[in-house]
Amino acid sequence: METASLKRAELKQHFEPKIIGFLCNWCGYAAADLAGTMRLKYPANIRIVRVMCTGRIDPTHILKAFKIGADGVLIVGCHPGDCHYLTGNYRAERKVAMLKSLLEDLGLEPDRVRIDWASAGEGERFARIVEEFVKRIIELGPSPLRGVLVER
Amino acid sequence: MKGRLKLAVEHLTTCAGCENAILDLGDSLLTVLGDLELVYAPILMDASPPDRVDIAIVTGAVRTEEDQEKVRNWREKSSILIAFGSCACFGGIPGLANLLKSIELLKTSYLEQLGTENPEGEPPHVEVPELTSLIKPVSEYVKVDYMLPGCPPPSYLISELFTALIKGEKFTLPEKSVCDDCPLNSGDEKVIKCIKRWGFDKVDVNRCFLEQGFICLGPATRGGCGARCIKAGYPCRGCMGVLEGVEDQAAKMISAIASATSLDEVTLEDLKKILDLVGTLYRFTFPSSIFGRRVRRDERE
Repeated sequence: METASLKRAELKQHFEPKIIGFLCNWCGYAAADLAGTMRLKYPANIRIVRVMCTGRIDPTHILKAFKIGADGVLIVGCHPGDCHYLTGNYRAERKVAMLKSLLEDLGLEPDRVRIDWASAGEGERFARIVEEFVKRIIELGPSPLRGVLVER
Repeated sequence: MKGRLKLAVEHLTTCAGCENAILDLGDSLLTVLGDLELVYAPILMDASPPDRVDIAIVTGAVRTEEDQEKVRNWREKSSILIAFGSCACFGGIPGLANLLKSIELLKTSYLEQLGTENPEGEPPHVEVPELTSLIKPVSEYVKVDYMLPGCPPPSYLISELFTALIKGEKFTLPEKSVCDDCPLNSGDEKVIKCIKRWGFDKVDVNRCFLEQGFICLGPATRGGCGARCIKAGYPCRGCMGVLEGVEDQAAKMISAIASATSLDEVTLEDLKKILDLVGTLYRFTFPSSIFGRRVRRDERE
């Protein structure tokens, strides 16, 4: 028991959030790519998963990310109206909105999920979004689910 | 011919509806009983537990330490163990109790409930089996050979299961969704144009409920029930559980709603009118969902 609480205190002190980023191929991922090419600095806490469209992201993916220990999930897609597949980002926005209320009922802070937009030319915007999100997650602290729910 | 197969029906935390569903088989039950011998079923008859059976059916969720022991016991005593009904398969309606700690549950039912008179001011201390900290489906404790979900399981599936067991064949559940069996599904693309609340808005029982704006879990629920609730004029509540390969019913239903709402007519604000997402979308499957319970800040302390 002692080691567990020690570990938790340690975790709080040097908290490096684990963030899963789902980026769409056409805008979000391209923006991240551009941020790299531009040599912009942003926190290295984000682990990026490229998807073809944010509309492809199922709430299952987000719930599973939390289950295996993510502290936050960031979704970046095309600006409204700019989706490569016309309406994928609107669908994603709706899923995230409903998932947030579900998460609230399940006892997890809805702020741990964020959906935002960055076009292929907005490397700086992408870097800023990640920075802001990491800051928010640090405020919220480690996810209470870290290392608790065992993989079934 | 080895003689009749011995069958035991054990109940855990349950309403006894599953046992009633077995009796409800009517004539076909008599046919089945020619090859199956019901040796133990506390809800239906008086008998002492046998040492060994061929088939054990468990109904209900695992809520108490007694239930845990019963499940383990029957696994040892039986060759085939069947989780029967939604509670045994996924945790069922009692599974919604995973939103609260067991101490909070006791407080609610013995102290805070409207109309409760408890001058002692604390839950009674009677020696009964302890509540487990969480409700879990039977498969979390022991290996389950067959699952038959449903609240209660549909009679023709019960017959099929029994027939398969007698013949020694494999039993498989239908893999289509409730919408596939639904008489209100015309096959056209469905567009949700508004969000309505059951009991508050006018219903047309001859038109797809989702299309009208009522939450119907058909798209995210395993079929095989013949859309019985919809035929009775009520939207699907999801008792048959998740579809094959799906992990989380609420996640799938959120996906379905997000994809079917009209972008012009339904706003993000409108979606907030869907209340109690856990109780609505996880009504029968909360304990077997991805989280399976409410998360707490003090989780690890």
